[in-house]
Amino acid sequence: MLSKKERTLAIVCVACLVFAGVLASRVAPLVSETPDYSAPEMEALHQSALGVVFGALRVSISDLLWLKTDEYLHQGVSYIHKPETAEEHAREAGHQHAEEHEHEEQHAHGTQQDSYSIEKAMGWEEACAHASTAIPAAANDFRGILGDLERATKPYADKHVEHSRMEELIPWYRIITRVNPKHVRAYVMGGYLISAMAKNDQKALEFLEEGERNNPESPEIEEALGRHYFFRLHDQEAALKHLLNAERLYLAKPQLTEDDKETLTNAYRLMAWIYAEKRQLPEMARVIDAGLRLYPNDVPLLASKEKLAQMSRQTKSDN
Amino acid sequence: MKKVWILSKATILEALRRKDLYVILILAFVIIGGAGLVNFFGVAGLQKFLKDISLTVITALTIIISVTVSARQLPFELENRTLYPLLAKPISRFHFLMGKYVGALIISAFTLAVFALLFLMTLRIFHASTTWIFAQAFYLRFLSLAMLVALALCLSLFVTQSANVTITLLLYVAGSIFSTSIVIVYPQASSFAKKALILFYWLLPHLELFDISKKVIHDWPPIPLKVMLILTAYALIYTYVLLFIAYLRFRRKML
Repeated sequence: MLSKKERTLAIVCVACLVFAGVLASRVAPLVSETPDYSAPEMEALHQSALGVVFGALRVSISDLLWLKTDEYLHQGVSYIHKPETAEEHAREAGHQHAEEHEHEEQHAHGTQQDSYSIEKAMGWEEACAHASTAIPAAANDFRGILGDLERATKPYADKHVEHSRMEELIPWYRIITRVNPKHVRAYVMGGYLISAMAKNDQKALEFLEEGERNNPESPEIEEALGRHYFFRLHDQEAALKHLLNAERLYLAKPQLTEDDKETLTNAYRLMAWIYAEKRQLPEMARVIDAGLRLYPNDVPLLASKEKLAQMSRQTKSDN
Repeated sequence: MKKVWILSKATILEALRRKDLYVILILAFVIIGGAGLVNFFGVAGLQKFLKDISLTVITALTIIISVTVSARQLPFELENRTLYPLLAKPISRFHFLMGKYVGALIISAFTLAVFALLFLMTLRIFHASTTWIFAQAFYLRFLSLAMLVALALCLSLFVTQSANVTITLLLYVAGSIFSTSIVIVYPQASSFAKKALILFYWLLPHLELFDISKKVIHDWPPIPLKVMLILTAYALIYTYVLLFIAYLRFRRKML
């Protein structure tokens, strides 16, 4: 049996634990909130050595986890992705846009086929075409038997391996964004997979909205939200709002990369569709022209332009 | 052999009395169980994630236990002066060193076996697949622990305990990164640098070759028997060399 003194101490311990729990529940929401820093406060944060070190650590860990998602996708095989040239990017973007156009039309008309895979939608096929295995092939390996042992003990393939179950990637996108809430690509990819693979549109929306709260200046997340509202939730008004936000944020950038141009073109394509549905022809013409300035041969935008011409003719004949 | 076994038993008892082993086992149980129960957006059957987290935890904790247990053996005996009455008995320095090595290795193997059991139970509970590659993974992990224990014991005769733990853990972690870096920079190196890189590469103990976690996680087929035999020979050679260096140092050490 416990003595009186021990019983008192035990009661005090339990009381302290309860008090700590109450305090934690009060503090938790404040900690999870992203503080709205002013410009001088942000500057002070950037000057802080501790802030820089922890920031770099978060970025490094999240990037390592990002590499892990790539390994998961390729059944554990590590690849080195080579950057593609601008010509290759433009050529492949044009090719992909034609396939996406077909896919989106099928989606809009409810005749979606399996031929258009998620790999294509995520741009993974394109990325994989530019990748080589991290472990060198026996013919190019200076290590002799040690190289052979590595090829035997680590996932290795001398050709590109089939992609594995993509649901398995979802936990890592959650962890990446917990480690580094500024990891925009993890929010975009995670949101897409939660919706497409886990078939949970509401959770995907919450995930993307969390990304938007943490990255209010990210046009990529706005575009992803626009796509999600358009294709999954069939809410054209909300989709348009986010796509216009994406356009505004992209155009505020001093220079657009090839990836930026591609995503912005995608936003223009979706906006053209929405304006066509709403029969807002001047707005439709504006977004088509803006998109074609980026990619003059973009198949979906050219199709929308044709549709616009038909609609204009029809409007004139009606009048 | 009897003398070695008696000393090993004393090492095992000392490690069991210290209780840190139990703390680590409970910690592993909580983390592995937690990984199985965690729910990400209602996605069911995340077997790879479960295997990945479990194997990462098992690898980290077995290495920590092995290195800390083996690194403290000799400094502990010297500090508490328990070495002197032992050596006054008919126990040679060789027997003493081997007794410490075998004891630390048994503790590491015991921890690994408990983790393996816990891992298999978790996989069964969550209906995850199990093949022969699991047995291979744990056998290779045991071989790498045999090398690590020898390395830590050897280093404990040259550096302080804390430095030993740091160096051994760094060698384990950085060895793999260094090996990968050599493979990446090799094609761009000059002919002289290439020779130096090959020398470095062959001298480094390649503990990463004993880690087949990725193959287990992604359900690859078992490793050929020939590879298992080569890796066993590799581990035995390294362990022998490290223990031999330790013995040479310990034999001449002024106590």
